[in-house]
Formats: sequence, C-alpha cells, structure tokens
Amino acid sequence: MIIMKFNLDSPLGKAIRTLLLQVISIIFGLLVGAIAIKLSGRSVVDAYTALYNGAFVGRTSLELTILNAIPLVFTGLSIALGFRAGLFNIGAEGQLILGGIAATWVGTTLNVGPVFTTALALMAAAAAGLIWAFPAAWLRAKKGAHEVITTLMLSYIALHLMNFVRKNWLYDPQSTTESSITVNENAKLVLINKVLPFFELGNTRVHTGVLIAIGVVVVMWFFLYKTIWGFEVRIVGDNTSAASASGVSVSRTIILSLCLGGVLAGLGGGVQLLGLYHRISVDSFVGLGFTGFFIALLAQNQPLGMIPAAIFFGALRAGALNMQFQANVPMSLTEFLQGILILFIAVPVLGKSLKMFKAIPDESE
Amino acid sequence: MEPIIKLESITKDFGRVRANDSVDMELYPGEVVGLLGENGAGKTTLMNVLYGLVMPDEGQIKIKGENIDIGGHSPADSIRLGVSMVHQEFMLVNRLSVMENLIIGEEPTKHGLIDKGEAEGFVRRLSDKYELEVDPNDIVGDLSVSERQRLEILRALYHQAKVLILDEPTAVLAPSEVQSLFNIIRQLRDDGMCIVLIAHKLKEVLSICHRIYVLREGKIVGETTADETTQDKLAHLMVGEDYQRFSEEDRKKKVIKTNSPVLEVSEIWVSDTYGNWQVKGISLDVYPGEIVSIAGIAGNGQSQLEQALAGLLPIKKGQVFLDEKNVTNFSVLERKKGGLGYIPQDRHEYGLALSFSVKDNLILGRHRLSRFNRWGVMKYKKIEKAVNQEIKDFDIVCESMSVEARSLSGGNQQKVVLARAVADEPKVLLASQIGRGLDVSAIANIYRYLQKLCDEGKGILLVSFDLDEVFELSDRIYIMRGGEFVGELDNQNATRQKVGELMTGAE
Repeated sequence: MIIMKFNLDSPLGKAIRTLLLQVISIIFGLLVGAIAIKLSGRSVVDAYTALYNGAFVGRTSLELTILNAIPLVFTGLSIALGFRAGLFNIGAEGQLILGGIAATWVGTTLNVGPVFTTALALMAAAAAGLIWAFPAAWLRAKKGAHEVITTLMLSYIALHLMNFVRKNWLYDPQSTTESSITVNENAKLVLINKVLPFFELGNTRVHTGVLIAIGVVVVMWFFLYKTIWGFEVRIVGDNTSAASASGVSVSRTIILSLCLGGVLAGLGGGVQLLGLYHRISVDSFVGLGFTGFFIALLAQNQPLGMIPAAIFFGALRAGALNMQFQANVPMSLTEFLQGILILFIAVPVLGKSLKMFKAIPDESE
Repeated sequence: MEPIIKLESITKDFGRVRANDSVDMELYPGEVVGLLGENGAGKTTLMNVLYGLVMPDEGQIKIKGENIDIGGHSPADSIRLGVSMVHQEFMLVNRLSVMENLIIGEEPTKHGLIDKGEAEGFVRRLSDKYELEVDPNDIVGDLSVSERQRLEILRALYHQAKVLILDEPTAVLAPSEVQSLFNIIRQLRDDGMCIVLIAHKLKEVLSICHRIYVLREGKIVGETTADETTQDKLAHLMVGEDYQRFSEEDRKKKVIKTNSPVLEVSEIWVSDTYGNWQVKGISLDVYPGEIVSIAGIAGNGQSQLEQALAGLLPIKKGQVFLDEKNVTNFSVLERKKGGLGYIPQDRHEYGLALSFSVKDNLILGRHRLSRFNRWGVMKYKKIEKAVNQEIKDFDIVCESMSVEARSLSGGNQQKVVLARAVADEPKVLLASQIGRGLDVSAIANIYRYLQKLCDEGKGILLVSFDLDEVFELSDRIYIMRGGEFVGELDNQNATRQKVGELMTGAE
C-alpha cells in the first residue's frame, strides 16, 4: 500500500527507479552469464560464489575492489562531464596517462618532504590532463573538429608517449620488466590507515586516493548543480540552441567541460600512480579511461552515482579474477560475463520492458 | 448513408492523463469534417488511434462497416483500408525524388524492376487534375513546405485513400497557399473523399468544413455544422466559459512618437552559414510604445534578421542602435544587458531546455546577473523567490517550479519564455512567432500582455508569419520578401489584400 502511494515521478522516485533499473539490468546480465557458464559445463553456483567472494568476502577482496574502483571514479566523472555538455570525451584514457607521467616525473625528481611532494605531483598530474584535453577542446569549440576523433588520437599519442618515457627518459636500468624508476617515498600517497588511525584498520594497501576520489565527487556535484558554470554545462548539453539564444557562450562551455574533464582524468592518473603503481610499467593505466564510459553510463552521469558505479566495476574486476582461480572459469568466460553486464546496462531494454520503468509517454499531442 | 468510419467509445490514457474519453465519431464520404480543440485536447491522439499509430485502451473502430482489431491495428492496415494521414511533421525522405517518395511501400514493378514510367504518369495525371503542381523528379529536400504537403496528399491519393486526415495543415502555409490547399480539399471532397481537418483556427474551419466536432480534455463537447455555429460559439466550446477574446478594443492604438526610436537598424546585411545573403540592407525603427510587425512568408530572411538582431548571427554590414547605443557587435548577453528582451521563434528549439525545471528555464540567461549568484555559486533562495513571483505574475500554470518545462502546456511554456524575456525591464522586446501553436485563450493572454508592455512605453518588434496576428497587434507593418523590405504600412492604410500582395510579390 505504501508503494501505491509513492510518487514515482518525484525526483526521489526517479532516482530510485533509475537505481532499480540498473540493478535489474545487472540481474539480467548475470542470468545470461549463468547460461553461458552452464553451457561451458561448469557450476553456476560455484562460479558466482567465487565472483562474490573475490569481490566482497575477506579483507583482501574488499581492498582489491576499492583499489580497482578509485581510478574509475575519476575517469567516470571526466567522461560524465563531457556527456553532460553533450560531448563524447573519448580522451580520458590519454589524459589519465599524461597525469600518470607527470606524477611520475615530479615524484621521481622532486622531494620537498611528505604531503608537499604528493600535492605537487598531483597538481602536475591535473595540469598535464588539462594540457592534453585543451587542444581537442579548443578545436571542437572554435573549429568544430569532432572531439571523438581528436581525443581518441590524443589518447594513442599518450599511450606511446608513456612507453617512450618508461623506456627512455625515466628508464630504470635495474628493472627486469622495462618499468620506469619508482617515485620517492614522500611522493607516494599515504596509506589510509596512517590518516585514520582511530579506525584501527591495521595493515592495508588502500591509500588516501579514496578520500580524494570522494572529495572530487562532492566537488563535482557542487559544480554541476550549484554553480553558474555547471548550470551552463547542463543547459548546453540539453539544448545548445536555447543556451546560445539566451546568451550562454556555447564555445566557452565546451572548452570548460572538456578541460575540466582533462583535469579530473589527469588527477585520476596521478592518484593511481602515486597511490598504487608508484612507477610506470608495461600495463599501467590500460583501459581505465575507456572503462570510465561504463561508469558514467551506469551512474547516469550523476556525480554521486560514480561511487557505487565504480565500486560495482571494481568488484566485478576483483571477482572475475577470483572466478578464474577458485572456480576454474577461464579468462575468456569472465570477460564475456563483463561484456554481457556492460551490454545490459548500456541497453536496458529488458528492464525497461517492465511496466514501472516505462518512460512517461510523450504528450498526447 | 453508411458511415465510412465509425469510432465507438474510444478511450486512451497516457499515464495519468486521459487523452481520449469515450469518444464517438462518424465520418461519411464526401464531407470535410473539422476536428477542433485546444492543444492537448486529444485531437491528434484520436486520429492517431484511427490511423493505427496509437493503440486505444478501450473502444471500437469500424472501417467500411468492418470491425478492426484494435490490438493489432497498424498504419499499414489503415492505408490498405483507404485511410491516410498527413502529420504535422512530414514523413518524407528528403534525399529521394518526389516520385520515389510516392511509391515507397507500394512500388509498381515491371519485370522485377521499378516501373518509373507508371509512377511518373500517376504524378502527372493527378498534378493536372488537382493543380498540385509537383514535378515527379524534384528532390524532396529542395521543395517548399507547401509542396511537401501536396506531395503527402498525393501519396494518400496514390494509396487510393478514401479518408484523408490532415493534422493542422495550414499552420505552415502562407495565406495564398491556404486558399489553394482548400481548393484541393474541395475537389477531393467532390470526388467523394472524406477529409478530416485537425485545426484550431476557427475562421479556417468555418470556411472549409461542413461538420465540426469540438474536443475538450479528451471529450467531444460539441458536434455542429458550419452553418449553425459562429466563431465565438466554437471558441467557448473549445475553452469553456471563461474565455475572453482579444479584440480590437483591447488593442489601444496609441502611439507615442518620441524623437528617438528605441531600436534603430540601418542597412544591415546578414548571410546564412553558406554565405548567401539572407538579409539585404534592411533598415527599420521601433519607437517606444508601439508594436511593429515584420510580416512575410516563411523563408524570406526573417529568421536570419531575427537572429542577427538578437546577436546570434553576425551582422556583416550596417548598424544596430539600441536606445541610441551602437550594439552592432554585441553578444546576446550584452544586448540583453543593453535592454533587449528576446523571445525566439521556436520555443522548443530556442526557447526552453525542455527537460529542465520551470525554475531553471526562468533563470536561464539571467543566472549570471550579480543578484542571482555570488562568485559563481547560484543563490537559490533568491532565485526561488524571484521565480515564485514570476509564476504568480504571469499566471504560469504548473504543479511546482521543479516540474520539467516539457510538462507545461504550450501557452504556459510561452509564458515562461515571455516572463524571462521581460524580467529585467527591457526597452525593446523582439518576439518571433509568439502565438504559433498556442490555443486561442493562451494567445489572447499573451497579446494582452504585449499590450501592457506597450502601454508601459516599451517598443515591440514582432516577426510573424501569421497575418491575423500581424493585424491584431501592429501599429506599423514592414513586409519582407527575398531578404528585403518591400513595403511599410501603418495600421490605418494596411489591408490584408495589400499586405498579401506585397508578401507574395503579386501585383
């Protein structure tokens, strides 16, 4: 009866419906995944138990989930900001890498004591992300060059630049894996048990990047919903013509949203490097930017949605790894499962076919 | 006589809105039936039900006495049974030719290949018979709106329609084009076709329709014939008892000609994005307290002129003075600060962000004013206070300021755009197609408000394709054709005929 009275069209009702829709999409994805696992002759129960255990059960699992989630919050926000202005910022991958390179450079060459070194390295990372985003932003706003092409190209350049840096400029001759040199201790992000001693977290790998991520989410929420610039980003994304007819500078807003997206991704790269990698290796940063798309999608471009969305993907990654070890599910099948889940979230057809999620119909005339 | 169409207690809900409420209707061959009602009354929904685009929740449809399975009814069935519909948005493929568009879905073939000769012959035959004036080989993208409309009618004829539904067909046409459309409709009627005209312009309905149904809030509130009724009677049926027409008496023609115009445009040239001149050396002036209209058929450079004056398109040559200040190179925002209020031509495309709240839309464009933000952070308390006041002042009907602008009726959406445009005491209001698509009562409200602004000494420049609007409101009329002004008349010596001739270039 309470449900009957609940207004589905209120803002809270909409938020709850969105959340439920995502959950149902995930369930559908898991069901299809179950069929695939069954067909491959393995136990579905075993596989999903392993998935769950690997993501949430036990300290190591939880930590892995959180560590996986941290960079995704940043790239998700970066991409969502573009989406909000009606732009496809494919470049978060490259901006993230540039942030990582800048953080490595500062972290290996500068040492001005704890906290300060980290702060400077993070600033450098954010600036590097900005620099990598600006050409695409400027070309889009002033010349109309499509941001998908420019940011994608810049991402490839970034990838090769990272390899160059790793093998030449910041090359570590002692490394057997062709990694770069490691940042100094003062540049590393402090582990979370050091800043929150009263929680008695004991030994952990989780670093303070998690706090930065939460802070950035809150700042972005404030930016989008409470400031005139965020308002303009949202209006431009909804109706460019109406925005310009009422005096909003569309080109300035495009530059702002893409550049700020660059800052966020760059910062994410810095956090990931200073918190987890500590040096650039062969597989650093791979796919974090692109995965940001799914985070943005799952969070419906809502800043506050980034945290659960990133945790979900972090958990999926962690769980999939465990599924390989514990339930003997081959890597290809875990990747299939991830793909299916992404597909169901991206195209929530099945969930939407349920009556309560039917879009409110168009006006009668 | 047997009705060709019979609708019985059709009911359709959209969410919590009842679009059609047990509607009964009969249509006979050889008649023109008007379906009249305000926006949102359910006219289009009802016809979409008949056409098979919308599935009704309840009710029965009989075509030629045959019961239609409403669950499986589709436009393809309707077309097969001789029911065609021309929507407001034309369903044409712009890159194909007239002939190709015509035969989509029912291509005449010869040896497995498309028989173009046959289709071409068909177009030419009907073109001659009904004076449709379309060339089978023209590309649809190059056709004018009225030519596209004729092609849609032709397509119905190609499918051997017995019932033709036209959704607001005159909304996009110039007066002379309306007359030729009506001539075509009369001929089709005489040939035994049944034509249903969805409309909200009373004068037109009375001039062409035989029988008239009036819909209000999804219900049929009146069925009458053109001989038995009057414009005022129909208007009251459509909107209920409290409707008051905007009349000549409301429009007090008192012009205060001060020495200096509040808007002065001298010899401006504007080009479109392809570099073609669309506005060729236009000069105009607007004095405080007068309403000046720019009349003309759509596509003669009005929208470029409008956008250039608003600051959306660059002015290549010439100058614009707003309150004696040269604003030629000012941005939209700078013009707004300089005293220009702007109501753009299409409230859905240029006026509103439809999925944003009423509040956001009312504040849009004003959010950068110092009273609404401090260091970039919006002062929501102040904004909400101002918005509340504006909703009250302009009588904007909405559940709350947080509902989406989309959920408002057209009239209330236009009030949002109007409220925003005049909120900061502009000296000049530039308004384009201000009454388009609005109900009679909403139009009367908006016109009354323009009159009030005018009394307050503001100058108003209207751009309008609607001659009724031009004549009801203007003190002076500029007539625009081919990017130039071809005439300037004041309300004393302007007649419809004269303006019509100038618009079309017919001498």
